Amino acid sequence: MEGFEGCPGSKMMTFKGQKDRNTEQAVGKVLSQLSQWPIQMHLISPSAPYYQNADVLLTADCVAYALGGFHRDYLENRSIAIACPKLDSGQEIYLEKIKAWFDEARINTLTVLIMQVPCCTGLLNLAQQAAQAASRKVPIKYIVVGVQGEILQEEWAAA
Amino acid sequence: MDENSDILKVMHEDHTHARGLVKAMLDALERRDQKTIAENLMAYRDLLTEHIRKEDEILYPWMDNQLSTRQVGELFAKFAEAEQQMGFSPDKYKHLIDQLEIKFEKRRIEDGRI
Repeated sequence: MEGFEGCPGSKMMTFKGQKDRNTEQAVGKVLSQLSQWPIQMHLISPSAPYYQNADVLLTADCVAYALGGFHRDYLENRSIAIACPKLDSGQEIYLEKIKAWFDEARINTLTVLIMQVPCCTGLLNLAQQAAQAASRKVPIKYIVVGVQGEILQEEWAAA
Repeated sequence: MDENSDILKVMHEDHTHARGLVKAMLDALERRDQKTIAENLMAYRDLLTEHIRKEDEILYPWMDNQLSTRQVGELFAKFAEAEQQMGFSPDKYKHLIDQLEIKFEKRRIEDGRI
Protein backbone atom coordinates (compact mmCIF):
# COMPACT_ATOMS: atom_id res chain seq x y z
CA MET A 1 0.00 0.00 0.00
CA GLU A 2 1.66 3.17 -1.18
CA GLY A 3 2.45 5.82 1.36
CA PHE A 4 1.88 3.46 4.29
CA GLU A 5 3.98 4.23 7.31
CA GLY A 6 4.08 2.51 10.67
CA CYS A 7 4.69 -0.98 11.94
CA PRO A 8 5.97 -3.26 9.14
CA GLY A 9 4.15 -6.13 10.83
CA SER A 10 0.82 -4.46 10.05
CA LYS A 11 1.65 -3.24 6.55
CA MET A 12 -0.99 -4.21 3.98
CA MET A 13 0.20 -6.31 1.03
CA THR A 14 -1.37 -8.55 -1.58
CA PHE A 15 0.35 -11.53 -3.22
CA LYS A 16 -2.40 -12.57 -5.62
CA GLY A 17 -0.95 -13.72 -8.93
CA GLN A 18 2.61 -13.64 -7.62
CA LYS A 19 2.96 -17.35 -6.86
CA ASP A 20 5.69 -19.40 -8.49
CA ARG A 21 3.92 -21.73 -10.92
CA ASN A 22 6.81 -24.20 -10.78
CA THR A 23 6.35 -24.84 -7.07
CA GLU A 24 4.90 -28.23 -6.28
CA GLN A 25 1.19 -28.18 -5.49
CA ALA A 26 -0.29 -30.49 -2.87
CA VAL A 27 -2.71 -32.93 -4.44
CA GLY A 28 -5.64 -34.48 -2.56
CA LYS A 29 -6.22 -34.28 1.16
CA VAL A 30 -3.12 -33.21 3.08
CA LEU A 31 -2.58 -35.18 6.26
CA SER A 32 -2.18 -33.13 9.44
CA GLN A 33 1.11 -33.78 11.24
CA LEU A 34 -0.15 -32.29 14.50
CA SER A 35 0.29 -34.90 17.21
CA GLN A 36 -0.82 -33.08 20.39
CA TRP A 37 -3.26 -30.64 21.92
CA PRO A 38 -3.22 -27.91 23.21
CA ILE A 39 -0.66 -25.89 21.31
CA GLN A 40 -1.07 -22.27 22.47
CA MET A 41 1.76 -21.26 24.79
CA HIS A 42 -0.57 -20.15 27.62
CA LEU A 43 -2.43 -23.46 27.46
CA ILE A 44 0.38 -25.97 27.17
CA SER A 45 2.08 -27.68 30.07
CA PRO A 46 5.84 -27.94 29.55
CA SER A 47 5.80 -31.22 31.46
CA ALA A 48 3.35 -32.87 29.04
CA PRO A 49 4.65 -36.25 27.85
CA TYR A 50 4.88 -35.13 24.24
CA TYR A 51 7.57 -32.60 25.18
CA GLN A 52 9.83 -35.11 26.94
CA ASN A 53 13.10 -35.46 24.99
CA ALA A 54 11.28 -33.99 21.99
CA ASP A 55 12.34 -31.82 19.10
CA VAL A 56 10.14 -28.84 19.83
CA LEU A 57 8.88 -26.11 17.52
CA LEU A 58 8.17 -22.71 19.04
CA THR A 59 6.25 -21.06 16.25
CA ALA A 60 4.94 -17.57 15.80
CA ASP A 61 1.20 -17.68 15.14
CA CYS A 62 1.43 -16.44 11.55
CA VAL A 63 4.07 -18.94 10.38
CA ALA A 64 1.77 -21.88 9.71
CA TYR A 65 -0.37 -19.69 7.43
CA ALA A 66 2.55 -18.29 5.46
CA LEU A 67 4.55 -21.51 5.11
CA GLY A 68 2.78 -23.76 2.60
CA GLY A 69 4.66 -26.92 3.58
CA PHE A 70 4.56 -26.34 7.32
CA HIS A 71 3.04 -29.69 8.27
CA ARG A 72 5.17 -31.79 5.92
CA ASP A 73 8.48 -29.92 6.26
CA TYR A 74 8.47 -28.81 9.91
CA LEU A 75 5.71 -30.28 12.06
CA GLU A 76 6.24 -33.95 11.27
CA ASN A 77 7.79 -35.78 14.27
CA ARG A 78 7.92 -32.56 16.31
CA SER A 79 6.04 -31.20 19.31
CA ILE A 80 4.85 -27.63 19.10
CA ALA A 81 3.75 -24.51 20.91
CA ILE A 82 2.58 -21.31 19.27
CA ALA A 83 2.66 -17.70 20.43
CA CYS A 84 2.57 -14.14 19.19
CA PRO A 85 5.39 -12.02 20.59
CA LYS A 86 3.62 -8.82 19.49
CA LEU A 87 0.12 -9.35 20.83
CA ASP A 88 0.27 -11.94 23.62
CA SER A 89 0.25 -10.70 27.20
CA GLY A 90 1.90 -12.39 30.16
CA GLN A 91 5.00 -13.46 28.25
CA GLU A 92 7.00 -13.90 31.46
CA ILE A 93 5.03 -17.16 31.79
CA TYR A 94 6.35 -18.19 28.37
CA LEU A 95 9.88 -17.64 29.62
CA GLU A 96 9.30 -20.01 32.54
CA LYS A 97 7.68 -22.62 30.30
CA ILE A 98 10.55 -22.58 27.79
CA LYS A 99 13.02 -22.86 30.66
CA ALA A 100 11.05 -25.87 31.95
CA TRP A 101 11.30 -27.47 28.50
CA PHE A 102 15.08 -27.24 28.82
CA ASP A 103 15.48 -28.34 32.43
CA GLU A 104 12.50 -30.56 33.17
CA ALA A 105 11.21 -31.94 29.88
CA ARG A 106 14.85 -32.26 28.75
CA ILE A 107 13.94 -31.50 25.17
CA ASN A 108 16.38 -32.53 22.45
CA THR A 109 16.26 -29.37 20.32
CA LEU A 110 14.24 -26.17 20.06
CA THR A 111 13.42 -24.70 16.65
CA VAL A 112 12.01 -21.17 16.70
CA LEU A 113 10.02 -20.28 13.60
CA ILE A 114 9.31 -16.59 13.18
CA MET A 115 8.07 -14.23 10.50
CA GLN A 116 10.34 -11.66 8.89
CA VAL A 117 8.54 -8.73 10.54
CA PRO A 118 10.69 -7.04 13.21
CA CYS A 119 8.36 -7.65 16.17
CA CYS A 120 8.64 -11.41 15.61
CA THR A 121 12.28 -11.48 16.74
CA GLY A 122 10.84 -11.06 20.25
CA LEU A 123 10.01 -14.78 20.21
CA LEU A 124 13.61 -15.73 19.44
CA ASN A 125 14.83 -13.33 22.14
CA LEU A 126 12.47 -14.97 24.61
CA ALA A 127 13.82 -18.44 23.75
CA GLN A 128 17.40 -17.22 24.13
CA GLN A 129 16.64 -15.58 27.48
CA ALA A 130 15.14 -18.86 28.69
CA ALA A 131 18.20 -20.72 27.42
CA GLN A 132 20.46 -18.38 29.41
CA ALA A 133 18.40 -18.95 32.54
CA ALA A 134 18.24 -22.73 32.14
CA SER A 135 20.84 -24.96 33.69
CA ARG A 136 20.78 -27.43 30.82
CA LYS A 137 21.89 -26.37 27.34
CA VAL A 138 19.97 -27.35 24.23
CA PRO A 139 20.69 -26.42 20.59
CA ILE A 140 18.37 -23.73 19.26
CA LYS A 141 17.69 -23.29 15.58
CA TYR A 142 15.85 -20.28 14.21
CA ILE A 143 14.09 -20.00 10.91
CA VAL A 144 12.85 -16.71 9.50
CA VAL A 145 9.89 -16.99 7.13
CA GLY A 146 8.95 -14.36 4.57
CA VAL A 147 5.37 -13.18 4.26
CA GLN A 148 5.05 -15.14 1.01
CA GLY A 149 6.27 -18.35 2.63
CA GLU A 150 9.90 -18.21 1.57
CA ILE A 151 12.67 -19.26 3.99
CA LEU A 152 14.82 -16.16 4.46
CA GLN A 153 17.20 -17.47 7.10
CA GLU A 154 17.87 -20.78 8.82
CA GLU A 155 20.65 -20.88 11.41
CA TRP A 156 21.68 -22.55 14.66
CA ALA A 157 21.77 -19.85 17.33
CA ALA A 158 25.02 -19.32 19.19
CA ALA A 159 25.06 -21.35 22.40
CA MET B 1 27.05 -40.26 7.82
CA ASP B 2 29.95 -42.08 6.14
CA GLU B 3 32.78 -42.36 8.66
CA ASN B 4 35.20 -43.06 5.81
CA SER B 5 34.39 -39.84 3.97
CA ASP B 6 37.37 -37.73 2.86
CA ILE B 7 36.36 -34.80 5.09
CA LEU B 8 36.35 -36.92 8.25
CA LYS B 9 39.60 -38.66 7.27
CA VAL B 10 41.37 -35.31 6.85
CA MET B 11 40.07 -34.09 10.21
CA HIS B 12 41.16 -37.31 11.94
CA GLU B 13 44.62 -37.03 10.39
CA ASP B 14 44.93 -33.50 11.80
CA HIS B 15 44.22 -34.88 15.29
CA THR B 16 46.85 -37.60 14.86
CA HIS B 17 49.35 -35.01 13.62
CA ALA B 18 48.52 -32.70 16.58
CA ARG B 19 49.07 -35.51 19.09
CA GLY B 20 52.45 -36.19 17.46
CA LEU B 21 53.46 -32.55 17.88
CA VAL B 22 52.40 -32.55 21.54
CA LYS B 23 54.39 -35.74 22.15
CA ALA B 24 57.44 -34.18 20.47
CA MET B 25 57.06 -31.11 22.71
CA LEU B 26 56.83 -33.23 25.86
CA ASP B 27 59.91 -35.24 24.84
CA ALA B 28 61.80 -32.02 24.13
CA LEU B 29 60.70 -30.64 27.48
CA GLU B 30 62.31 -33.64 29.20
CA ARG B 31 65.58 -32.83 27.41
CA ARG B 32 65.19 -29.08 28.05
CA ASP B 33 65.46 -28.64 24.28
CA GLN B 34 64.00 -25.16 23.83
CA LYS B 35 64.53 -24.99 20.06
CA THR B 36 62.52 -28.18 19.39
CA ILE B 37 59.78 -27.07 21.78
CA ALA B 38 59.48 -23.74 19.95
CA GLU B 39 59.45 -25.40 16.50
CA ASN B 40 56.71 -27.83 17.51
CA LEU B 41 54.70 -25.11 19.23
CA MET B 42 54.74 -23.02 16.04
CA ALA B 43 53.76 -26.06 13.98
CA TYR B 44 50.94 -26.80 16.45
CA ARG B 45 49.70 -23.20 16.22
CA ASP B 46 49.65 -23.36 12.41
CA LEU B 47 47.96 -26.76 12.40
CA LEU B 48 45.31 -25.66 14.89
CA THR B 49 44.59 -22.43 12.99
CA GLU B 50 44.12 -24.34 9.75
CA HIS B 51 42.13 -27.11 11.49
CA ILE B 52 39.67 -24.62 12.98
CA ARG B 53 39.29 -22.94 9.59
CA LYS B 54 38.49 -26.34 8.04
CA GLU B 55 35.95 -27.03 10.80
CA ASP B 56 34.21 -23.68 10.37
CA GLU B 57 34.23 -23.50 6.60
CA ILE B 58 33.95 -27.14 5.53
CA LEU B 59 33.18 -29.65 8.29
CA TYR B 60 30.36 -27.91 10.15
CA PRO B 61 28.41 -26.74 7.05
CA TRP B 62 28.81 -30.27 5.64
CA MET B 63 27.56 -31.83 8.89
CA ASP B 64 24.65 -29.41 8.95
CA ASN B 65 23.54 -30.84 5.62
CA GLN B 66 24.12 -34.44 6.69
CA LEU B 67 22.47 -34.46 10.11
CA SER B 68 18.80 -34.18 10.95
CA THR B 69 17.70 -31.78 13.69
CA ARG B 70 17.12 -34.85 15.88
CA GLN B 71 20.72 -36.02 15.34
CA VAL B 72 22.13 -32.54 16.08
CA GLY B 73 20.32 -32.54 19.44
CA GLU B 74 21.56 -36.04 20.28
CA LEU B 75 25.12 -35.15 19.34
CA PHE B 76 24.92 -31.97 21.43
CA ALA B 77 23.72 -33.99 24.45
CA LYS B 78 26.55 -36.51 24.05
CA PHE B 79 29.14 -33.73 23.91
CA ALA B 80 27.64 -32.11 27.03
CA GLU B 81 27.77 -35.46 28.85
CA ALA B 82 31.39 -36.11 27.80
CA GLU B 83 32.45 -32.59 28.82
CA GLN B 84 30.80 -33.03 32.20
CA GLN B 85 32.59 -36.35 32.76
CA MET B 86 35.91 -34.76 31.80
CA GLY B 87 35.28 -31.78 34.07
CA PHE B 88 35.71 -29.58 30.99
CA SER B 89 35.93 -25.94 31.96
CA PRO B 90 36.47 -23.40 29.16
CA ASP B 91 36.85 -20.63 31.75
CA LYS B 92 39.83 -22.43 33.31
CA TYR B 93 41.67 -22.52 29.95
CA LYS B 94 40.71 -18.93 29.13
CA HIS B 95 42.15 -17.86 32.48
CA LEU B 96 45.38 -19.78 31.75
CA ILE B 97 45.74 -18.10 28.33
CA ASP B 98 45.02 -14.65 29.83
CA GLN B 99 47.71 -15.22 32.46
CA LEU B 100 50.24 -16.43 29.88
CA GLU B 101 49.54 -13.44 27.64
CA ILE B 102 50.13 -11.04 30.55
CA LYS B 103 53.32 -12.87 31.51
CA PHE B 104 54.83 -12.90 28.00
CA GLU B 105 53.73 -9.36 27.19
CA LYS B 106 55.46 -8.18 30.36
CA ARG B 107 58.61 -10.10 29.44
CA ARG B 108 58.56 -8.65 25.92
CA ILE B 109 58.36 -5.13 27.33
CA GLU B 110 61.19 -5.84 29.79
CA ASP B 111 63.33 -7.22 26.96
CA GLY B 112 62.72 -3.99 25.04
CA ARG B 113 61.24 -5.86 22.11
CA ILE B 114 58.46 -3.36 21.50
